[in-house]
Amino acid sequence: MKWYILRRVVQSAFVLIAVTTMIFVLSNFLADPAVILLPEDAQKEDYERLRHDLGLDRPAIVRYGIYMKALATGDLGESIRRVGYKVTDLIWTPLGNSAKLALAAMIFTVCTGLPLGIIAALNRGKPLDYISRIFAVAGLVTPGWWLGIIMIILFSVKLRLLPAAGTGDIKHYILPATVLGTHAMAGLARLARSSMLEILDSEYIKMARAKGLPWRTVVWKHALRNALIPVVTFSGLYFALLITQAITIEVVFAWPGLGRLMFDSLGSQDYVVVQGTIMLAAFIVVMFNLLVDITYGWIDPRIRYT
Amino acid sequence: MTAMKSSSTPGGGAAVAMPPQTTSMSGRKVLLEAQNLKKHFAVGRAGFLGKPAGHVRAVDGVDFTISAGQTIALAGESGCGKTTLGNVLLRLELPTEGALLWEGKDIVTLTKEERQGYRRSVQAVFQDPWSSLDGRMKVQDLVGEPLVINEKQMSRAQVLERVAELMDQVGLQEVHMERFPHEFSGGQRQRIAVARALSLNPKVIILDEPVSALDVSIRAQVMNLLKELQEKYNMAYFMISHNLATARFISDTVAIMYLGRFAEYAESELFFKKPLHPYSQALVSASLPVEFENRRQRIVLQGEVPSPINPPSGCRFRTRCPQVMDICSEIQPELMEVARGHRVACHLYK
Amino acid sequence: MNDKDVILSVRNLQTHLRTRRGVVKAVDGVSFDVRRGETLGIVGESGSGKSMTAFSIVQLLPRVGRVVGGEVIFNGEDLLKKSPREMEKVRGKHVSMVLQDPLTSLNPVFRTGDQIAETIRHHLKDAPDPKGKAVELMRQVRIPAPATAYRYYPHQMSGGMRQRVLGAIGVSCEPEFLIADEPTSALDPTIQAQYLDLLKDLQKQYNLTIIFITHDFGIVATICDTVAVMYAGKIVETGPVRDVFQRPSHPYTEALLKSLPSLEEKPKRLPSISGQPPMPHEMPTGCRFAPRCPYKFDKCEEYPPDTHVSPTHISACWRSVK
Repeated sequence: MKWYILRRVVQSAFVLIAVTTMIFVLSNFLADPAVILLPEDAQKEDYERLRHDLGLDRPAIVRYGIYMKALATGDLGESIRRVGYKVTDLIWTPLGNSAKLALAAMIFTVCTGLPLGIIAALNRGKPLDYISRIFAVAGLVTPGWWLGIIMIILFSVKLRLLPAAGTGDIKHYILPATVLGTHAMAGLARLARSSMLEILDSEYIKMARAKGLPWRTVVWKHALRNALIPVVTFSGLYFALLITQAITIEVVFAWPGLGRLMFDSLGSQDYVVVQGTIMLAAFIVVMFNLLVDITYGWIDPRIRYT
Repeated sequence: MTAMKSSSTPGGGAAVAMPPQTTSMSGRKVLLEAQNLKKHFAVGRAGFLGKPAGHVRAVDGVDFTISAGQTIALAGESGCGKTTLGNVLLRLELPTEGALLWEGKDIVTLTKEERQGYRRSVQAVFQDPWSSLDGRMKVQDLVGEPLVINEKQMSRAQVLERVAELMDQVGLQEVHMERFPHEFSGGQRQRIAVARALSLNPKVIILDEPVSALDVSIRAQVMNLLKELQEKYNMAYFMISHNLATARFISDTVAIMYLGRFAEYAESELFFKKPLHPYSQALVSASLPVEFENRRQRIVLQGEVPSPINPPSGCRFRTRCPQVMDICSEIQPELMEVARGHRVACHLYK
Repeated sequence: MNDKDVILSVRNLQTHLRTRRGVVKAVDGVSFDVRRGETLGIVGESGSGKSMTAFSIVQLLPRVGRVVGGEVIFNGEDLLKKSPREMEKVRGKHVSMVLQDPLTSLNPVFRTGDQIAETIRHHLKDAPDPKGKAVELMRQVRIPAPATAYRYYPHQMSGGMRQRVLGAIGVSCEPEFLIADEPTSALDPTIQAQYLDLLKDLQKQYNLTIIFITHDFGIVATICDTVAVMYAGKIVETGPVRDVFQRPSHPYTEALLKSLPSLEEKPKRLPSISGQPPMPHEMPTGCRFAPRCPYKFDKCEEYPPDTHVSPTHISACWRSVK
């Protein structure tokens, strides 16, 4: 297990280096930031001065070195629009907000998707199975932004039960978390169903029953732990995506998260902030991948002992 | 992580130690000859960085020849290296050391044309007729595929004509050509696999457990078919099997493999009359007959097959051998001829 | 037979499978008795219904399977009349099973020892030390270093060792009856020999009655007392192993035994059986074997009655009807 974790950590580090390099290349060579930043009537001298101020006139390899060095110390640079603000400072609060929202969505996803899938599997071919599968398909095909608007109209405008925008107490979480988690819920339900069905058909479940164990022990002890293996992978990866893919939902619900920050920074062409958010997103995805792998090893001894 | 990776230097440096044999003792043409053939695999990783933790010595020095019309049965238990040896014969793996000679030439250094020729001459029939045939292809395309690939000058009509001929030879009908594999039973599928192997008039067919996945009442049909075809075309068979009774019926030479080496190598008649190696004796006794009279004595071995990564010193079988002696842990016994046509690697026979 | 010694009596058992192509009569009116302490071999090819017969006895059929008729009298009680709850008390405690594939039959995420102890804990609520008993059982089935092996996960063991763990689970609650479903077909020959020996020892020790399901006639000849030969959902011949194998009465048994290659001689050709077993959806109406039978005659259009060839030897063939 020790070597297994260490190997995963080092692999993750390599992935991070590759990703950061790619982001550097993309944001520096596809478009000239200086051109984007300058007003249209800018002169050649303004352009040269800006390039010098931004350090863009130095050779690419030197800039790459500076960039990587700064990254290593956790420095993501300074905003070019909001002068004097470091990107790290700008990101901190939205990150917390996004994480809270993602966590709420995740809780919703797991608390609904997992039981839905398992109930479907245990009632295979019966009405409950069909009902839960219809739920799942509906969740998969409904676009999040549309669901968000409908729910705002229904619960906030018509029924006046829940707030439509902003953060605050738990009530503020209900709508955006539900909307954000619906997609994942549907996916998780399908995954849990198929993985549970496969396991219920397995020989060791037959064996557990041949031992005379009651059905609930067979399901909750022998089947569930195995069925959780793919579910953990899914959940871990999806959590990372929830944080990073919440742009539309955060915009719809005016949620001051990372998605909003990115959206706003794109609008103001603040490429340093955009770059910083993407970097952070990549970092989160890689970290969760790592976390999933380690959890995996914990659940499944076949991975732990090799 | 047990990554299996083919280890380096595939036979390149190993020069042919002995001049190749051209005819066997019985005067038949030698097709394949293995000289001290070895195939090792790197496994696992020690510590953090990927240095192999060891080598699986899947095949660890075997010598034999395959001649036209001959059937060698290779018997042994899982992990003894019989599948790897089969793969080397099919040139799916290259030897790590030693050499495999095809009509006198090392298979590693064959030219492109010679490699093609080799592939045509050495065909295979695998154990599982369910997974070895592509379910989306019609039988005529399955059987005709080797022709389409290798005989580019043949027209579609000629290919189909040849397929029809092959179907007849393996006891299937022409009407079967338009069907898909799932419409056939296991025995019929194995016939299809045989027809496919026959399509290029091979000189050697590697039979990897050809009947063990079939129903008992079907096995005899397929074994008879294999024998008939051999008599007709004088092909050599190299059959991998763990069933000794099947080996007895089909083979004229038996090789018993244990942890990568031959424990015994003998003409079938001699071998089954009197297996010499203690492992062979145990293996023979584990093949349970349906008769009640004159049953052979049952020998039940203790323990399990040791890991091929760290095989025991000296004789590899000594950890389970009922007749183990002091010398067995010290010196690895070589395969020695104890009677004409009967070779055994055991210190009991000196 | 109203033998006092009969521990299990199966009468006219019928099990159907609902498939896409219609109902398959997997077990089609099967009757047999097993006496206390003996080993019955049920032998047949794939699809003959031998495994379905076994799983019908303990009611562990696949989702599409259902017992539609017959009786399974075990120690005087009809198991088919028991509720699922009551069957849970029978399985593992009175009738236990050893399944075919030792790798997939053990739960990959639990320690092997715990999987043995679990059964003991469940059935013998007042067992003082289930873990200790599990270690003891592992020793009994000759697993080396049982205390260490207790902590192994299934994938850390060899096939032979895993099959021993299944054996240990099988006898953990000292059942009277063990059903072994092809327990050795995934094992190598020398490991199979070890396992058969072990099974015989356990049988003596626990006075077990065993049903051994296999397609290997050699195993039946070696370890079974009586045999039931199944073909296409029916028992075609049953009796003491020696009687059946030395003087087979049903043409299927006879032809099959003849077609097996032997270590002792090398014939030019094996006497083979033509054709193949019938597809489950296209069962012949009369004798199932008639289309492949060399002795077939007009009567075979109708299914033959079970006929006594001797007091203990029964064959379902018109040729035996006097």
